[in-house]
Amino acid sequence: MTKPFNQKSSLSRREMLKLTGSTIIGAYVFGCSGATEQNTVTLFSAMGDVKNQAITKMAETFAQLHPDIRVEVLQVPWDQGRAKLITMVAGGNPPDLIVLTGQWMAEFRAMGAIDNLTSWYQTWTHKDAFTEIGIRRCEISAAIEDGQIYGLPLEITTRAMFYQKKWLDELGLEPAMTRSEWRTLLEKLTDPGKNRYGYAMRGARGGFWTWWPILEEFSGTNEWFDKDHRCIINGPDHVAGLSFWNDIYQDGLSPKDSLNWGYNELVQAFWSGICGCIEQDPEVVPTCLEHGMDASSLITAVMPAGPKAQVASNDIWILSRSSGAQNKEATQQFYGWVMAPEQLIPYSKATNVLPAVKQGMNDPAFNQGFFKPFMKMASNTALLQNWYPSYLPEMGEFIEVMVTEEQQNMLLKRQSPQDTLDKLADFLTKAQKKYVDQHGPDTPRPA
Amino acid sequence: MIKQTPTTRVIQLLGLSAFFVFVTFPLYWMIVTSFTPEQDLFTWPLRYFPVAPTLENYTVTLLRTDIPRYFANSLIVASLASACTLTVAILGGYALARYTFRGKQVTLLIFLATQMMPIVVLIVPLFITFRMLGLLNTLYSLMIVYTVLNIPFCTMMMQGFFAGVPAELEEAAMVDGCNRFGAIVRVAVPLTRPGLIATFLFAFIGAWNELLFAVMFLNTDANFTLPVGLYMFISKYDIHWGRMMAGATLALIPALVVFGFVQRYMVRGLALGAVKG
Amino acid sequence: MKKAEPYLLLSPAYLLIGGFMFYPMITVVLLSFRQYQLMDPLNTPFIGLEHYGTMLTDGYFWRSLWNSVVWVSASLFFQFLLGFGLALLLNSTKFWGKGLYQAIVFTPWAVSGFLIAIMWAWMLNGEFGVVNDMLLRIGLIDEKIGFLSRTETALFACVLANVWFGITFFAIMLFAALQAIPPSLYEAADIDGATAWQSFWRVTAPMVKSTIVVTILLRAIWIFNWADLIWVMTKGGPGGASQTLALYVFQKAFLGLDFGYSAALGVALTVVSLIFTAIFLRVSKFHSETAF
Repeated sequence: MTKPFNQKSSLSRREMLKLTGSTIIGAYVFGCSGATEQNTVTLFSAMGDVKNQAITKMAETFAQLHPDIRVEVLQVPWDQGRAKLITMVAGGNPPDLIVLTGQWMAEFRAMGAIDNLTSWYQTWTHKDAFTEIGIRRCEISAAIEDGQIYGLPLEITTRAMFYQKKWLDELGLEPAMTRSEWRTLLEKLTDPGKNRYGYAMRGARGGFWTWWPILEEFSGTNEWFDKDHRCIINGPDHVAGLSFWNDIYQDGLSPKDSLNWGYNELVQAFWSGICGCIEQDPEVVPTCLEHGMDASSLITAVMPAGPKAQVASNDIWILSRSSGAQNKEATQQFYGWVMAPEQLIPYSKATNVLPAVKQGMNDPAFNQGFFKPFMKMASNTALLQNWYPSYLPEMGEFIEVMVTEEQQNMLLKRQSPQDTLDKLADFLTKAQKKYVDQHGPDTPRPA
Repeated sequence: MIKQTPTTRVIQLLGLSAFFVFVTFPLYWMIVTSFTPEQDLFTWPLRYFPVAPTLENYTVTLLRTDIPRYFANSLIVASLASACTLTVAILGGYALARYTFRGKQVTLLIFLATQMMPIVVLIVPLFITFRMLGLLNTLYSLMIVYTVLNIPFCTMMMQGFFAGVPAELEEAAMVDGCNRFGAIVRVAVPLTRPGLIATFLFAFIGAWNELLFAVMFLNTDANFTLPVGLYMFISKYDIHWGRMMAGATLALIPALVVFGFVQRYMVRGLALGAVKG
Repeated sequence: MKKAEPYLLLSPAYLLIGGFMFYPMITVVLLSFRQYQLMDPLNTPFIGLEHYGTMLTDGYFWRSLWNSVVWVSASLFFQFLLGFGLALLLNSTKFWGKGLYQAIVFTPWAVSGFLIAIMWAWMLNGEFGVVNDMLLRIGLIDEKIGFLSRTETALFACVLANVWFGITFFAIMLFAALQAIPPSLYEAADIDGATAWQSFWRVTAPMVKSTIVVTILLRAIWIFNWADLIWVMTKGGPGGASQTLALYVFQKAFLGLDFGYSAALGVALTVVSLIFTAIFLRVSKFHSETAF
């Protein structure tokens, strides 16, 4: 997807136009100023404390094995991780290695920031080490496209349901297997007198990641566009799904304040004993344990199935090489070492995520206790994989800004679920059309 | 002056108390939170004084994180940036106070205009500039940025202070053989000492607390300044409230100490500067 | 040589501002005439005023501009009044421990914007916030209010945090200005039989007028451009209720990856500030001989 660098297009004047930000220009023309030493490899990670530390340890181990290469882990506040990476890329000072989420991959590839690793991959010892789902998620997020490798999965995170076990035991209930069971469960768990609510709604930024899988469950499909490139997410089944989600808030099964809850708030609401249920990644397990939960108060379960499908919300953190990398050889050496199962499995254990390598699948550490449902969700290939069109340039702003606002308008009763989805579908149909005009009718589709 | 009757006195004291409570309560709450163990933060009804105060937040923050180093970095950056700002402001402020010249209005307009563009749009161009200068990921880049951001307001402050000092004294010094520069340094500047402190302090606090440029320009955590370090306490899943408040309290202490000690001079300095003939 | 002296003295300021401020600003202005979407970085044609045209029909632009107006006016109004009030109180009273009181009551200025946002967000928290607790105990409300999650209150929650911070600025500046008024003027007014009210308007106000004008102007511009506080407190929500123009600029650049349009928005913001400044200075009949 990287276009060839064309000197004549619009780069006719000095620095002001270097703002075109292509890291190619940045690296080749000015990349050496303020550059790192010959054998320093910089790794950008906005993954948060625990994982940053795990990666730093791996970097230190690597340094012992290869004293001539120094891997420097750049730590970034999570809240500004993406903005910082964008600044580095646009400003012509990109890191050598980047850890990205699946969501960012398409954007950064479009910026020309990601290198193609295919030729290296062909001769790599561990190239068949990854699981089917791991590879599928790479394809879904455009890390692998048409056999071209742009990144490989460092780990897989998946969603499972967390419940307050004590509340379930009190009421003699079990985790729900279907959405309708789940809805009944939430109603039973809600008790405003005791300041208890069934569910911690994510009404603000990121709410998309909770309600979109429900739409997929109700409609049975993870497609977004029909063959005429019109967005179909406002069809009757999808609307039913969104209404289901909306009703949870309208019927008071989540605190009124959850309208403005993001990640932090809803996790906090769970372990502080306000809400009975959330769906989250395995990394939230240690957070809960740190805040005083244990096997008697916490139980995890697979996601309930909707009327037409059971959906696995998986996402991956991908390791990629930046196209502006200074010392490609040293960078690739570290890359090849760190992505081997011998490194990835201990990393996953240390950070409470699931590895995307086949060797890790049967490891008892990932198949017991709290992690069992997660492994089930991450390894069951029969489940519908959640998907969204990350190749569209508008997607970032769509998810972060537009969707948040529209969903909040719906929760505030300013518009119906149908209206909400109509607006979103309209926007996306236009975006898709623009894309098709530029790139032709063969758009990426769910795997 | 308002005549002091008992009623007015009561009203005044009420007013002063109200302000005091309003200003200090959030700070009090911040400090209380810093001494509260994490699990006690999420209980209802709230407790206004920690039942089981703990030093754990402070020990973790001081020992296990790099907060002390960030502190040092902030100190270096803020001090040097303010010193530079002050120097530039002294020279410029003197010029604006003592001379009438054609560019004067334009200069003041330019100063104002630089405050008008949101720094968010300036991040990438400045990033590129510092990259080309090879200063990315150094404290120098921040020093320069903070200096530049503070020059307009600080120069205008110094202008006011110099205006409050009669020009005759410098004239006298120059008659005695000083050149202009010597007159500035040896005569005018010492007379504005409270003003110097005020200006320095203003620039210092601005630099001490700045966050966005620090996040964007600094890569390795050895170089982080304090605001960036505190920002790291917000992670994807968790806000470590207790530790963040502990860090915040620590960040506040030097600012408070210096500020508290010096604000007296600052007010005096500004008062001097406000005198008009 | 003498003629050049002022310029020489100002040269460090000119150089630094020119290189590190003006140059980027001009870059931004020029960028606003181009299309520059980060996901299409090599395609940056000159499109003239197209971004500005888009802006005029962009609902989000007008909404965020309106929010900005509310944000700036509400913040300024309370900050100025309360700050002036505090300054007057300090100026006219003597009490034991005044120095210490002063030191403490001026401290909010020393706190970083990010921390202010975090602190107030925590205090206004809908579940565990202390403001809710106090209001409930006093009996002013019956159930907890999610200040940051209600569209009516979100922006004003940010205003509250801003006011807490900004009172200090006005209090310090105006207190200093008040201190500079020679007591003889008040004595003269007293002798003439002026009431407190009259002496305020005839003596106090004119003497601090230029300080008032400058501080309000500067603070207005700073508040207008300030995005940190709102970003950390509400991220512009809920439903865009607290999205100001400065925040919109940030979102367009770093979330929407549209640097061209974001530059145009930045320029628009600057222009609004310039217009405001011009009008304000004209209306207050201010002559910029001395700033303070």
